Amino acid sequence: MLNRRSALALGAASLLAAPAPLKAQSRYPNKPITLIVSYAAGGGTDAVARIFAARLEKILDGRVLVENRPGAAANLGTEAVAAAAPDGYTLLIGNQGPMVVNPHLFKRLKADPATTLDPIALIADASLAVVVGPRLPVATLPELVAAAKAKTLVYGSASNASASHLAALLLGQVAGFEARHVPYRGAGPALNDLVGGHIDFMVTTIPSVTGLIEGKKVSALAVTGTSRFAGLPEVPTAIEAGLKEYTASAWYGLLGPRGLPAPIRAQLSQATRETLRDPTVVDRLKDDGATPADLEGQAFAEFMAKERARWGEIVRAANISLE
Amino acid sequence: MGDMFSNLGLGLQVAMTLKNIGLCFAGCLIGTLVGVLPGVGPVATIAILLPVTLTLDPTGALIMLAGIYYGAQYGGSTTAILVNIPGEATAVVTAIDGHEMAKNGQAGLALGLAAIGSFIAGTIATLLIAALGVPMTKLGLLFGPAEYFSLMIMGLVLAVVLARGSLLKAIAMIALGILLSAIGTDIETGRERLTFDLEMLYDGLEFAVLAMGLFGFAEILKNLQNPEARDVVRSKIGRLLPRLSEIRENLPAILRGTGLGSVLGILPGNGAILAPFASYALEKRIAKQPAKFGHGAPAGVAGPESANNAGAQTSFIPLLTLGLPPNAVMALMVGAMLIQGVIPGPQVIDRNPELFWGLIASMWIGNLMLLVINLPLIGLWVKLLRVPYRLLFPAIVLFCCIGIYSIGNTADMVYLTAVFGLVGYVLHKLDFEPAPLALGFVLGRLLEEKLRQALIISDGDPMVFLRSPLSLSLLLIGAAALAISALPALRARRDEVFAEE
Amino acid sequence: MASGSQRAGAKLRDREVWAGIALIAVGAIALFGASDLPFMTRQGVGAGLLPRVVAGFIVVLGVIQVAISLRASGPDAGGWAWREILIVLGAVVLFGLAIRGGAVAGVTVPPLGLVVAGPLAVIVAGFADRGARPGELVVFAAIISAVCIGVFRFALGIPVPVAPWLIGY
Repeated sequence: MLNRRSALALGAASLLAAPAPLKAQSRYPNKPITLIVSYAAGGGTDAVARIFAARLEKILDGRVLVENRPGAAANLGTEAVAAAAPDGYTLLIGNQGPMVVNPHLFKRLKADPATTLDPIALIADASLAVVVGPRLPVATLPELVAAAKAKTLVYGSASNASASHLAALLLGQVAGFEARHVPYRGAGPALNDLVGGHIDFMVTTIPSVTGLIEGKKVSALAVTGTSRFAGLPEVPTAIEAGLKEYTASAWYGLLGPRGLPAPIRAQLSQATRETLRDPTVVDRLKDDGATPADLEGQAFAEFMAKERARWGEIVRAANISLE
Repeated sequence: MGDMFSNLGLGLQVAMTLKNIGLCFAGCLIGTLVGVLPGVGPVATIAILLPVTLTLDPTGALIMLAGIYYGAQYGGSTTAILVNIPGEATAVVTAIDGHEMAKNGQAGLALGLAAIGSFIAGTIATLLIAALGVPMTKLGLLFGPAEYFSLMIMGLVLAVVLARGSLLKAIAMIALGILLSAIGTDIETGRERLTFDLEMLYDGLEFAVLAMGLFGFAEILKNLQNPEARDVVRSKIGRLLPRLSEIRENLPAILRGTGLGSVLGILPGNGAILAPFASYALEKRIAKQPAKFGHGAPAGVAGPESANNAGAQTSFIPLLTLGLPPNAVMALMVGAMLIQGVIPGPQVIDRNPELFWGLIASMWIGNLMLLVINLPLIGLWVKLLRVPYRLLFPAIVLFCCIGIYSIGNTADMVYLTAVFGLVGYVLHKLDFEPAPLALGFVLGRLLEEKLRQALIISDGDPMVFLRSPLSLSLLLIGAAALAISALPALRARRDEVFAEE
Repeated sequence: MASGSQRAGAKLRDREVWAGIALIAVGAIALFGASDLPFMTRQGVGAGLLPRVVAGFIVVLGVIQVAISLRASGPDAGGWAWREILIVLGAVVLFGLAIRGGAVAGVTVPPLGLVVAGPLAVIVAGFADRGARPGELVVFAAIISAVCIGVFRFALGIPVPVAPWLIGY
């Protein structure tokens, strides 16, 4: 048995065994960077963030720690970054939900991304797929539209006001039909009901359905991007299938608190560009149905403003509110 | 059948390479560790380790992640039995009789039965996946929102049986659990419900917060108030491992649990959480001395633990045959497959047979390994109970605090857990039991969600629950079970059967 | 007269009566909290249907419980461990305040990390036991906190702050 003094010494020593503080250096980064993800560990955004962070660490030559701050429809993560010091040590992986859709859904946002965050770079842009299950045996997008006009269809979504829900709403608005919306907790359970023939159609992220399409459990009628998806070459875009105005995508970007010093901002967007040239990152994004993007700084900010205006119209037309 | 064995042979070949055995072992060990630590859980661990798996081949990566998953199930029961903290919903049932056994000086027997029962269940479930995985997929697809709702109703009726004492109080606890599950943003309309404008409630309550407060902290407060009782308990520590006769006695319970767990595991939306509850209800119903349940009945540990492990195993079926994840861990496995360039879906079995069968074979190896890791550990765990309680409980408090903090990296959840610690203590004082509340909480959310989904799909027609034969049968079973539970109470004989305090 | 007031006094301590009163109170609070939620909407079942039905049901159960237990005499609820509750749950709250900082009652706590929050929680909680030995508790707190830092932060990679004021994370 240790005597009291030696045990105390041992305890103190193991406390001090933690890495000694780094001397203040002019170099960035000189301490770990926290990359905030506004969702619980395990989601799609989380996966992208972790892959991205693993590469970014090597390029910046410093630790990048992913920290999940889920809550309040992903607004909590936005608030945390908006409130942090703009020193480049707190960054955010933002996606279109909290960045451009939530400002329309929540009348009392504590931190408006457009005014409290500095967009650094768009990381990737992912298109979605329109899929039908055995309950609705149609083969093309126009057939789906015709069926939806003949009788009210039922569609599932990953959750209320998710990209999956809004893209389906937009489809109805563009094609001129109304359908009943069934929100689920995530794409998985919704797809289960699609395959089981309990609902008619879904607009969903591509990686969640690629296997089901190949296994002929569901059929893909269209992808929602401006070009076809490499992994599903035979599936037309919605534009090709006859809906000239229909595009929708889910995207991820890197942002920081407003007021980042210009050199750090430049260093981060340079590092992002390099990360997006890494084959592992590119492959992972491709599996997600996403393509690496090349919008930085001002261009990314303009892109966000355009997206915000566009989803705002859809949200207003459908009269969705989360408050 | 011959096919199945040649396939399993292929799988064993893949899984038995030195590297894959090593990865399986590493996964099981990490899993046991995070399972034992309250609050951490397999989801966060797998998410953090995801980038690490990039350096592995797909089969090796999945074998390791799967090991973490079922390793965590084992570790979770250990904490539930020793200190009455169920980290996940599935361990709530184990805590009821398992912790009572530990208090009676039978911690070793409880841990041993849990480990051996889980191993037997894992072995049978592995064979079941190999033989019937593809046809069983179809069963899962039959469950649309209407059928699922009826299943949940049946499950809630079963929850009544979980209670030791008053029927009315048990029903009230289930209702309270459902009410607590409604707190937070309504998924359908996005409205805040029952949050009383507290921001920390906007996203609803985490199960771990509820469980650590109601079970863990309340248990500590109970023990502090009764120092005599807790020290007497700690002085007698029985045998470490169960006798062969004890295993034989509990074998029927293990097998029944395995059957229930295997079927419920394949249901979408985490139907596996029903498995231990259903097994417990069944064992109590058919036991010769139901009064023993709740006071340390070995079958109340062996059955539910087997059901839990079988369910954990068969929940891989929808993932492997359809690429559809039935729970959060499986969703991460989908992510891991994608990172590795394997597209999950019906074609995996043909296109990547070595991965498919290798993973299945590794499940069995993993279960064997867990037995090997855990049986010697039982001695260590039981010794942990010899640590003076004045030091043990502050350590439990710290572990719970860190675990809870790590769920959302916020102190809010730590504060909420403290509140539920107080609630748990009050419930104990007023002789309410927290187990039915926990079940009401986990089922409540699904219950409401499925009710509303079914009614949207049917355009508001409530007859939808009676039109589907499957849904109708489930409701009838529930009604029958309710009648059986209620009858003794009506005859005022329930006290004899259930309470013995 | 004397026996009547004695009976009333016993009822005031009766566990079963209080159980019923507690149910009524919880149900009533929930009914109040859910009173602004719609029962039914154009799309079907509204956000308020389930909470209000369940809360109402709990109130009914509470009333029945009180009615039953007023007729028979139940056991006393016994003494309440207020001291232990205050100390243990207080330790938990202190951990929450210290781990990454916060403000309570006008006092702002800086982010102190696990190096401070860990020993703080262990030592404070430890005093809930009447047999606590301060010296032993301090040593134990240091050791167990070091173990936790090693396990949670370094072995499992969980981003829990260690000592932001000293080493920056």
